[in-house]
Amino acid sequence: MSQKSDIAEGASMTETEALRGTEEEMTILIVDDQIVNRAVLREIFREEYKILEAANGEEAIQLITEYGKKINAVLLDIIMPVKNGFDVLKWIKEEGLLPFVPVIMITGDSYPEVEQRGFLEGVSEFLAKPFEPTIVYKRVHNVIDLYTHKNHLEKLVKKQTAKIHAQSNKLREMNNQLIECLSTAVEFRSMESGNHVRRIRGLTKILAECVKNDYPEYWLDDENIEKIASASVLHDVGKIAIEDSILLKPGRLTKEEFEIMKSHTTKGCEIVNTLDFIDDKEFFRYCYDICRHHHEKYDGKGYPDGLEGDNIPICAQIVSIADVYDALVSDRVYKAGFPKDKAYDMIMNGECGLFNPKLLGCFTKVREKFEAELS
Amino acid sequence: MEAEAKQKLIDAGVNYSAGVTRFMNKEEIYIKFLKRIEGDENFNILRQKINEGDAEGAFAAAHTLKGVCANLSIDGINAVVNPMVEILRSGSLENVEPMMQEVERIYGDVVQAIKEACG
Repeated sequence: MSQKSDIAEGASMTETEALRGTEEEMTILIVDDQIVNRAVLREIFREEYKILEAANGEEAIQLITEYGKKINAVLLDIIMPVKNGFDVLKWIKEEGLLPFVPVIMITGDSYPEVEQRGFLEGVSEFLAKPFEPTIVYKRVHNVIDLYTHKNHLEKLVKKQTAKIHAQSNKLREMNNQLIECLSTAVEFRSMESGNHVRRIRGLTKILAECVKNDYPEYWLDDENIEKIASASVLHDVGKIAIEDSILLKPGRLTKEEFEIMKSHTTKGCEIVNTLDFIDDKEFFRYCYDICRHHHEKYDGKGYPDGLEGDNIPICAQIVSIADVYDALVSDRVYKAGFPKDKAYDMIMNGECGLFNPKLLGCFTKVREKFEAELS
Repeated sequence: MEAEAKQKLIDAGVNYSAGVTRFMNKEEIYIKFLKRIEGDENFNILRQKINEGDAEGAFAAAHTLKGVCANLSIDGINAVVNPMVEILRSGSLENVEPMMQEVERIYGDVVQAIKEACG
């Protein structure tokens, strides 16, 4: 039985060996100006590791430059010509390699101040001359093990995080498609083209971007704008619960019929409440608020709750303008679409009810973008 | 290696079994490096630095020699070189010359023993 297997015995390295099996050959760089010292270390590790040797600091730096993170440990003598061990250590640190390439220092004599300085500067372990193979093997092995596991875990976490991120993006995308599909179905039932759903998302986003920039008090950012735009397509989902005779009536609605029509807001909330599979509570809240409050008016004369001013959630206020604008310019069973200029004027002069003056300011600013969105 | 040859090395100050163990029981590799001690420049450098009165230079050479001899298990040399390193470390050359002569004497014995033992 060889000395190596004597040493390795009892040191169950199964996990590291499993990792090694999937990864490349493990490499140790031995840096010492004395060939005898390198030879002893080489004999200890040659069966298990690829060995690189450097006779001074300069050579060591060249090899580390070439092999980089493929080196699993540097066994580094301190006193050497050209560049000493601490010079090399400093360089490894500056290159940002120390978290990946552990440095094990070789000392001729055990002076605490040398070890202290070494540990402070990032040395992982010390080897004293004369080398005792069992101790040298175990110390180096422990350090390499630790780094292998650490770096493997870090890689794994990185990979998993990316995967989770991709999956959650996919999930969000699926949610959006599902919601859009549902909204489009409602729209077709209203004998509309299906374009309203697509347009409402675009108009909502344009207006929300402007509110974000001009009115920070509403706390909009890119992330919640994206959610509000997605939720906006659901605003009329409650119409699916309105009977055809009212929903599709070509003429004016009677007072009673209008009351039933208005219930599409609260019916929408009931439908949204069934979307409890949506993990994103913020998104869920936007869906609910938009369905319920997109017919509220700034003066409290809207429905269903008669909310006033900024008691109306900002998401619903934004969708409300986008919805009214799109309804005005579109042909409906009961009317032909208005020209864009006319629609703009009607919103600004309160013909369609009162809106938040701040939002009207934004609406004016983005007027051209709104018109471009329609074409 | 035959017992007689081994004994010659041991008598000259070589801890043969410790050396072989250090080289992972690879006797031939140990002998190969033991042979290289003849002509090892560190002895010459150490001698030269002591002659020049250069304690710092002598310290570096003695320190290196200490490590090499320790790894080769030439305990006889380490017995003298190790205290010498400590004197030189403090920047002094006091009593170093007789110690160096002792080192050279053992060194000569070891080289001679290696020649006789290993051919």
